[in-house]
Amino acid sequence: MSVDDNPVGSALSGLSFPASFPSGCPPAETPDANAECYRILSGSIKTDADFLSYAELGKLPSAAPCKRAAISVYDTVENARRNLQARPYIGTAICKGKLEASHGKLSHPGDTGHMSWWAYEGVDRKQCFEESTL
Amino acid sequence: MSLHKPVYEAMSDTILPSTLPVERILYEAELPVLYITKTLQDQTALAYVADDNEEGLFTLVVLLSKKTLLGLDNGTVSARDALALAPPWLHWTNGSASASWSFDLEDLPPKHLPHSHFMINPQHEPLIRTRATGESIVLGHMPASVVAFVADATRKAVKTVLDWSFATNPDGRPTDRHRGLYDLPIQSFAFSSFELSFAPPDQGMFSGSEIRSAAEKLNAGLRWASGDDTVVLPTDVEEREVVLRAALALTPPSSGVISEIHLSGTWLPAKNVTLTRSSRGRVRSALQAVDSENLVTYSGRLEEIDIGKFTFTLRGTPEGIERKGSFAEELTEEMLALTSRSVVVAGVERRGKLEVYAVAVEGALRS
Repeated sequence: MSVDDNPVGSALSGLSFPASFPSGCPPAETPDANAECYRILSGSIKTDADFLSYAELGKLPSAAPCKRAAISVYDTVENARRNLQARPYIGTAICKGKLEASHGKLSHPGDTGHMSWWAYEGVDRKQCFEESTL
Repeated sequence: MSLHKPVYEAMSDTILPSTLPVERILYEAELPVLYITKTLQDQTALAYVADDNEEGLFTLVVLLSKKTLLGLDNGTVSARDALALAPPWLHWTNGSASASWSFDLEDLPPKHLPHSHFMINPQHEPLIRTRATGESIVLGHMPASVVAFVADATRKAVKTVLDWSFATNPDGRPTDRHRGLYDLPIQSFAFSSFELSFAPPDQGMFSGSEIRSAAEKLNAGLRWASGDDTVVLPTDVEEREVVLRAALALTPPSSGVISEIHLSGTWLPAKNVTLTRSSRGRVRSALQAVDSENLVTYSGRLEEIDIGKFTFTLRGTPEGIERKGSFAEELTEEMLALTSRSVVVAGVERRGKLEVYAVAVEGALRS
């Protein structure tokens, strides 16, 4: 999908969202990514599978398609830990990342610190995060 | 291990709707995780997303009383406890189909329930949870000394680090306000082993930096005591002693029914800490290198009792010098009763600081 097909593609040259994203996703008002964030890992070491969206994992079929296309991250390690406390099944460790404009769009944090990251096509998502876990 | 649809027959579709309505969200991530919903009979229920996998979305649903909802809101009931108060249903949907089953919470792997201490409001998360375990620590067989140990050890550990943090404050040591900080309110208790959860104090009375400093010291000392060699203890000898003494207070006694102490809470954010009898040995060994403690007795005329700061002055001593010190709070009445009299005090002296635990008229010792 090119920037022309997806009006919310980036002004940065050559960056676009995957063709699987629904039209109009992410919302136009979503800012470029520019924040530290925390991702919950299923194991103690990060893997590529830890950075797949719900749509890529085939989960939450009844959720809004644009929401399914995003990857969940948290604004602080404390909020990520709270999420693990709320849902222990989702993982065991947390890693820290720094997302920038070239990585995609990032929603503002909600009340629980949850943010949705819509990654551009071709971004090595795993490499946006540190090896060490918290 | 993911959840799957139960193999036994699903309930009729007269109790839960195919799509659970979200009346009020209590916690959410990319979707509402814990929320209030309604049954088809318009009964209020608590819904919790126990799993989402390739098979679909699995939600536990339990009827919710007004009292329990109030408890969730005011922090006296955890999410997990609320889910256990009534027999649950398990609701499943994959977006195109749904079903519900009556369900036994015992059949649910623990990781598909919220952590036992997860509170919907993060402000209600306990500062420290102290849990004692041991063979005899079960309701009906547990000696009262276990209850006393958990409460007193936690209080002593917190007081030790706060005394240090506030002593470094050039404005001097706070009084009743200080005591209000380390004599933490008990938020909840549990008898499965024995556990006390301590709520945060009124932090508006104290500087956040002083409390954070105290919390970091206690956290470091406890982690080191548990065997975590990645923790670096303070290089300053006096500070190192404070950290070790705080940790020592919470290690299980060398004998008795308590074999382990488990600690968690917002003051220990990274992971829970478990202290064993070997932790006590580890701390004691480290303390030997820094221990400045001496048992002392001094005599003189007891004056200048300050019942706010728990301090006193001994004058007319045989050595011809004034001695200033502090006394244990429990000794207040005796100290006041013996003001201006010739007394003998007994206690501990650390790096020139005297703390007295017993006082008596000269010639007789009572405490």
